Amino acid sequence: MSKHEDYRKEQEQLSALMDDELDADSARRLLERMQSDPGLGLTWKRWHLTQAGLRSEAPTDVLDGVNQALNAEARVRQQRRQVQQSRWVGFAQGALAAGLVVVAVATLWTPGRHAPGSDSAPMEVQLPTAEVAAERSPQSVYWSRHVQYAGTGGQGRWEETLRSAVPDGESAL
Amino acid sequence: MTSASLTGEDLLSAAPEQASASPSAAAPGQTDLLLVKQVQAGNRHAFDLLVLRHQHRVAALVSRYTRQRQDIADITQDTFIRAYRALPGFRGDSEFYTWLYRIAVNVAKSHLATTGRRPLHHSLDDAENAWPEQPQDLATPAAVHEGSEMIRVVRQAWEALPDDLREALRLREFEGLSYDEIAATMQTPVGTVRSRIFRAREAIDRRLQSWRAGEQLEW
Repeated sequence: MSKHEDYRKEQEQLSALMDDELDADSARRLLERMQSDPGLGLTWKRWHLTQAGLRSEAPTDVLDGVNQALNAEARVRQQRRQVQQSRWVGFAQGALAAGLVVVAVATLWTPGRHAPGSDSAPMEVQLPTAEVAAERSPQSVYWSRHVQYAGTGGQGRWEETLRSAVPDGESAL
Repeated sequence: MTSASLTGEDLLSAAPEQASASPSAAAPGQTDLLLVKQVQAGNRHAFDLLVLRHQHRVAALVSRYTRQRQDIADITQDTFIRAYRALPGFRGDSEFYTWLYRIAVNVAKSHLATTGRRPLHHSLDDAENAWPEQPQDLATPAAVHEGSEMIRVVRQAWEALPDDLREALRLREFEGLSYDEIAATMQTPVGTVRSRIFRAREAIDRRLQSWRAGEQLEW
């Protein structure tokens, strides 16, 4: 079948479609073709215009207006959806952040609880040794040394320490 | 073979090459229903085809409520917008045009109530039975002239058709007969009826296009 015959057949089918006289399968195929061939749509428009003329109906063309209104509505709906989505995302992000804060606070500040691992263990303020020494009283120096030497277990070292703390000639023992 | 004894099978066997125009294909409103289903499936293009198919008829209905051309256009447009919004709920219990007709009447009444105007007809029956009148708009008489001219050109083109084409189109457009019934009336195969109606539309369209080109008018 030549291209011209194909075209004529399609136009004839279009006329039958207008009259509800095209079988369902052919109608579906033709509607698919109409989506890709604007010429068929224009023919559809003009033939309905001639039909209106035969019925003494005044010509009307509201398609552009209808499409503009529907497109504007669709844009508004889309914008509303986006706003709602961003609100939900913001809410979800806020909730997530708040949750993380709660978890962090609960982890770090639960009294008497030491989580495993040094990263999450309760922090102790560790001042540099020199500063500590400078701020300590003589008693604390004594106890510090006591712990130091007792910890290393040297009885002799302990006695040495005592001797060094007692003036010459006196025996503490 | 007389028209009375002409069955659908006879017609098919007389024109086997026209199988897609089978007698069983005809069902009032089937094209609308197919388009509606496509719109419901998300095909906006199918809705365009529905608008192009029914806009003149809806406008003619609305013109029985108001003669103001701008009102007619606004109400017709609003009818299709509301129909589009409501289409997801259309189940096909009634014909699409019947459903659309109800929407148009409601929109027209609502529009007139809003603008404080009285309808030309006060009941649906009055509106249905009234002879279609040309919308009037004193502000744009050219528009009325345009419409009247278009109708005149179409009528002239139809009258100038060869007898067989003119009669086939008359039976279809004025009498509302199906192709089967036209075939029976004209004692001709249904495929021939289909071809004649197509050629008649094509001829009128050609005449209208050349008139439009000559008149340089936009509708």
